[in-house]
Parts: sequence; C-alpha cells; structure tokens
Amino acid sequence: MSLTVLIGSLAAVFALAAIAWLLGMGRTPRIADAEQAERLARDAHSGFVPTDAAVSRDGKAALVAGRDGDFVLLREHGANIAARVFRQAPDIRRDEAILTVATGEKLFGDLRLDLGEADAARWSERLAGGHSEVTA
Amino acid sequence: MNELPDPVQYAVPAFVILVLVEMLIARRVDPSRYEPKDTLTSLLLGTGSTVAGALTGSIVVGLAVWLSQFRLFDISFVWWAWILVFLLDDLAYYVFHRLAHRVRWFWASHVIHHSSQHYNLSTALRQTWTGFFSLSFAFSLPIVLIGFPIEMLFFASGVNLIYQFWIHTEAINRMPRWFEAIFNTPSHHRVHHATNPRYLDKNYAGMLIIWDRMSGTFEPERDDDRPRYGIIKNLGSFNLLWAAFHEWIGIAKDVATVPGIKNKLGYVFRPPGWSHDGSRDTSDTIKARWRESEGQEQTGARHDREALPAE
Repeated sequence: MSLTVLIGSLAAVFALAAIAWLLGMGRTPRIADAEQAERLARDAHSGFVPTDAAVSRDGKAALVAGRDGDFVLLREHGANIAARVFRQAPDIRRDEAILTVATGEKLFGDLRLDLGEADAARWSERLAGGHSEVTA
Repeated sequence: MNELPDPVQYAVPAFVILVLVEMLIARRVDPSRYEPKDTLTSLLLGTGSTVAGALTGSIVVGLAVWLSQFRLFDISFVWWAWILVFLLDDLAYYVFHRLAHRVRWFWASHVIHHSSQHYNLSTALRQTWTGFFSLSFAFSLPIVLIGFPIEMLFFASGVNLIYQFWIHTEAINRMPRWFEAIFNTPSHHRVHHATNPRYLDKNYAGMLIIWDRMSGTFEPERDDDRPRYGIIKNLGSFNLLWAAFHEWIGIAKDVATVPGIKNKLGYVFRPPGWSHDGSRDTSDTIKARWRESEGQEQTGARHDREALPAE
C-alpha cells in the first residue's frame, strides 16, 4: 500500500462520513415512555422480565427494573440505543430531580436521568435500599 | 509463476460508490440506517485493517511459500482447480468464521466487524486490525499444503472478500429462492449480524450458505423477528481504538485478575462471555434463557386459549 493510496482512502472515508452528515442521516432516538423502555430492555437482556421503568424526561435514557432484582440501563448511542445489564442495583447518586447511575465504564459513561424530584427520590430510595417495587 | 491481480484493489472504487448509493436510498427509506460517526468509525477501521494487512501480508505470503515445499500435489492453473480452490477457500472461511464466534481468542479480532449497531455497506468494511495476531490466516494454509498455487488461493480469497461486501445491506430484502438456497445473501447475513437470541451463532457462510445448511448452523430470517444488530454488550462509544482493541483489553484484564491457570486459559480460549464464576452470558446461556421464556409464553398462551369459553 503506497502513501498515495492511503491518503486517497482517508480522503474517501472522510468524504463519505461528511456526506452522511450533510444528508442528515442517523436520527437520534428518544425513549418515549416506560412501555418502550421495557421492550428495549427485554430486547437487550434475554429472559428479562421488566417490572417498572424510570424514563428520563428528555427521553435520552432509562433504567428498567426486573423481576429477579436485575436492572437494564438504556441510553442513546448515535441512532441506536445501547444497554447495560446489572445483576443487582447499580450505584447511584441523586441531586434533586437528577439521578446519576454509575456504570463503572469510562467510555460508556455514567448516566444522567432527569426524573423529576418525586420519582428521583423514590428510585433513589429503592436503589439504595434494595426495595423490589416502587410505589407510585 | 502466474501473476494474478489483487481483485480487492480493483473493487475499492466500486465499494465507495455503492456506499454512497446505499446512503441515498437509506435517506429516502430510513435515515437511521446510517449514522455519520458510526460510518466514520467503520471506514477508519477498514482503512486501518488494510494498513495492518499490508504490513503483515509479506509474512503470510512467505509462510505460504515455505509451506508449499511440503505440498502433496502439483496442481496447475487448470479449470477444475479454480472451482476446487473457490470451494475449499470458502469452506476454510466457514471453519474460521465459526471458530471466530466460538473461541474468544479469534473473537477478539472478529468482534470489530460486529461491533456496529448498524447494518450497511460501511459495516462490511469495518474490519479487524489484529487478524494476523490472532492467526486467522492459518485456516487457509492447508489448501497450500494440498498443492494449489498460492496465487490462485489468494485470488480466490480476494473474490470471496469482495462477494461478502454486497450482502451487508438492508436495501435488498430477499434474492430469488434458488439463489437463497445456495448462496449467502443479505437476508442470511442479517441473521448472522443479529443479537436476537434466535439468530446468535448462525449463518457463518462466506459465499455459499450450503456449509451452514450442511452443518446445522443455518437459520432463516423471519419477518416477525427483525434482526437487532451489534454485539451482546454494545460498545456505546465511537472511539476508534476502543473498537479495535476492547476485547483484547478484556482478555488481558481477565487473565491478569483471575486465579488459576485453567481459568486464565478459559478466558482466552473458551467462548466469548464465558466466566469462571458464571457471572457473564455466553450465547448458549442467552439462548437457553430465551427458549425458557418463549416456552413460558407459549404455555401461558395455551392456557389462555383453553380458559376461553367455547362458542
């Protein structure tokens, strides 16, 4: 492979990515509601039986609780949703309406869920205390 | 010695044009089929793979030339040899590809190709940088030992690679039935890239789907179970270096931290997702849980039907 071919290849690569951007490809997904979050969680974790979900008000992320004490964390990634499975309650911290879920992965990042103050408090209490259900 | 061209070099301009055409189709049909950052990552991984191949290619050729002195037969460039070499190379690809999904050492290289959550022609070019390191070239070398000319084998491998480009698309639904029966197609390969439990570890074919049909690894695409692409633990990042090396880093961490030589070897050579304490999922455990939950749903549905009053 000559340097000319390499430079030509890189030029084509950046040109195609730029065209994809100019064409407006890759619409950012939003998680509309708890039902959609639960379906996405089932898709991400085989055999998962969701019981309830906390969906961020901006639709960018969600945390879904499962029957067996497991959790699925969902967040947008480009035009898709990426998920992480927790066998037990993940580490969280709450700042008023915001619940931050720690993933322990630098590149995936921690997740910020804007749940509103009441829901954030309820989920925070549940995740800290290991309660199985959130009462509405 | 017959000098044969590298068919991949001639195909590259067509790859670029076809990616562009597919992008324009996707814009009209479903703009989420492409994502600029994903496209950039895939194409840069492809470019890096070409560079890695150029750096290590001469070692592979040298090894093949050295091995050829032990060949069993002297096969020349006759017509039947061309047919045989295409068949054997495709079979070797099937074996390699199946192991690439079942042995973590090979998966660490191959996972790069599966790590996009998109399925388009740019995904076809999303290729490994570490194929030489994982010894993936070794699967074709027995063909040299049989006695097929090395140039013929490399040409066939190049054609196989080019064939596999066009099947990475959602723009084509199904090919004619006779074609779907014999050849690998976009539909068959969508199944291979899917993470739906039903589709995991299926359709390893390169050019010919017959190897899967003969080996029990064939699974048809279903309209009621649309493929969801990517890997079990999707990257959640467009970082190029992480995409290229994340599984190798995972192996290194596991080997460094787990006690016992048996466990260490398990993290290198057992299936992806294997863990010494059963805390992770392999494709087998995922499938088992899925079958169990499917069974429960079917039993529940049957009970519901039986509970309905007769008309």
